[in-house]
Amino acid sequence: MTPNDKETLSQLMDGEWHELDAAQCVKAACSDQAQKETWARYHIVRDVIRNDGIRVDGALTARIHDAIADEPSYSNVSSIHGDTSLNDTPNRLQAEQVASAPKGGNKTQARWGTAFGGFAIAASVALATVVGLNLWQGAPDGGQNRSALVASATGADNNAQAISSVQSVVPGVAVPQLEFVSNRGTYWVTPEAKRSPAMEKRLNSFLSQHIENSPTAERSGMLPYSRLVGYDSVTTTEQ
Amino acid sequence: MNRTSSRALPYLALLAALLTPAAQALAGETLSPEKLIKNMSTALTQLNYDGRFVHVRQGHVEAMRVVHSSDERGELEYMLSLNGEAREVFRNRSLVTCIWPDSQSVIVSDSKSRKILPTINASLANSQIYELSLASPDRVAGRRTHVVNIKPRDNKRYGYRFWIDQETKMLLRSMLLDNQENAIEQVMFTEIEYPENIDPGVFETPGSKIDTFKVQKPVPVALQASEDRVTFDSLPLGYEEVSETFQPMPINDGPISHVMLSDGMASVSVYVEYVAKADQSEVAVGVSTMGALNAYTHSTDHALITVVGEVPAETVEQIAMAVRLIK
Repeated sequence: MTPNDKETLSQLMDGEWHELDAAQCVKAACSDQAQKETWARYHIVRDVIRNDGIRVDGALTARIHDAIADEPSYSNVSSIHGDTSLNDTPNRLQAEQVASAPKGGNKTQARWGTAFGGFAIAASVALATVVGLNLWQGAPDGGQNRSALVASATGADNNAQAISSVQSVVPGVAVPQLEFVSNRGTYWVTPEAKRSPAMEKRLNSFLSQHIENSPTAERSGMLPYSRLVGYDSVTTTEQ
Repeated sequence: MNRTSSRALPYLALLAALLTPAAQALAGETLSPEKLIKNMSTALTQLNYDGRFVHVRQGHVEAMRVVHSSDERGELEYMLSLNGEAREVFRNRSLVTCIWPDSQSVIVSDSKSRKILPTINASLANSQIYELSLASPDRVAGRRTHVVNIKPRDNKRYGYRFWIDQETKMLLRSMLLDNQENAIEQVMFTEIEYPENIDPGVFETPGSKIDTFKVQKPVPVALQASEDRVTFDSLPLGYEEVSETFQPMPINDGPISHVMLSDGMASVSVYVEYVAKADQSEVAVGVSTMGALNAYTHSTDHALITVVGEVPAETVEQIAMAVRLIK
């Protein structure tokens, strides 16, 4: 499948029909196995993003599992002790090989780069999909209440489940535990309750008092009041 | 290798050795992580500075400006968020005023002179709970810095990494690190000046601007300090009680017990509100998180116990569950 095919599928997904010969594109997509699979993946990703229910096929979950199992652990900071052994996973070493490849390298090196880039995209897609799978299959009633679960986790009031971890086992495939992080702002996240001005004011009042009375406010490194200045306050009680 | 380059090798090795922290110490400047941290704490409170910095937490970046002035009468501080809502904090010698213009809300609390705060005497060197070390020098906001690593020996607290201005000892960058050494919160100056004098008008609270806002004001009641109402069954290793007060707060009708705990680097506040279970319905119990800050609220029949601090969630929970009320 060419990059143009992916672009065309993306346009179809986004409803940008006016720039395409839609009938021809659909026909081409249906006749090509790679395009069909890509089309299916795009739909799953879209469903996850929209919090819609998704269909699961066993082959996909197995591939997701394989992709996640190979995902390197990484950190955005160097080790305090300069011990890099934890980060030296095969994929990281592979990435370093690609990164250190001289310009104008041979075709083998170019393939390594392409393969790694493809892996990175696949891993990110897989991660988004696994979150959806967990939410769907983790529902105690087998999925009947998944809409409510998803809505409470990522809907308008997205903080409710933001720090809870979600874990379940897809039949036949062990899925690693994922931390569900959806707190996009800087505000108090409370799993058991929705945001409310009263709750936030209470905690911020405690925080202000804590900062002002902390004997280690300067020692602990952060400019103490930056946490309050950076606070995204809520203006109304959310229902 | 030719003779010239081989003759230069010892000199290059010597130069490299001179650039290491240990060599700097031998050269006359005694560099110890503990001393640098103490000097940094002093610089933060006693220097005049005007700078812009970024605060990063949970992938969320805030640009801010801070202006700080200090003299024999105390500190003045002004902090402004440079993007999004123009949130401000004014800290003068009597009050701390936090303003959120979008929600038109203001929190005003008493400011405390650093002189009256309890002093942490615990030595951080050779500590059982933190391991201190120096890393290679770095450069932040165009200034040369020492780099200090503070690694916790257990999972009851976070690690730290400080970039300290070699000349002024001001903190120019800091990271709060989780147990996997991932940065969970960062502050970094992008520019900073150390003016000799700062216009005092910068620190004046805009009274007319906030007249219509909802203001939480401090309750002017004499402090009832050292009243022992709270004790603990067992605390995580290294945490000790630093102070205890029993005083009103704006959020509550009655007085609240406030116990401050510290392990020498991190501080944790324990608040006890003496309210009956029937009056606790509006309060969310359990853990709340904001970046590296965690809070845990525990409900009992006669009190609400809330623990707040820049420590892991399990630590605030463990401390909350260890609280025992004497009165």
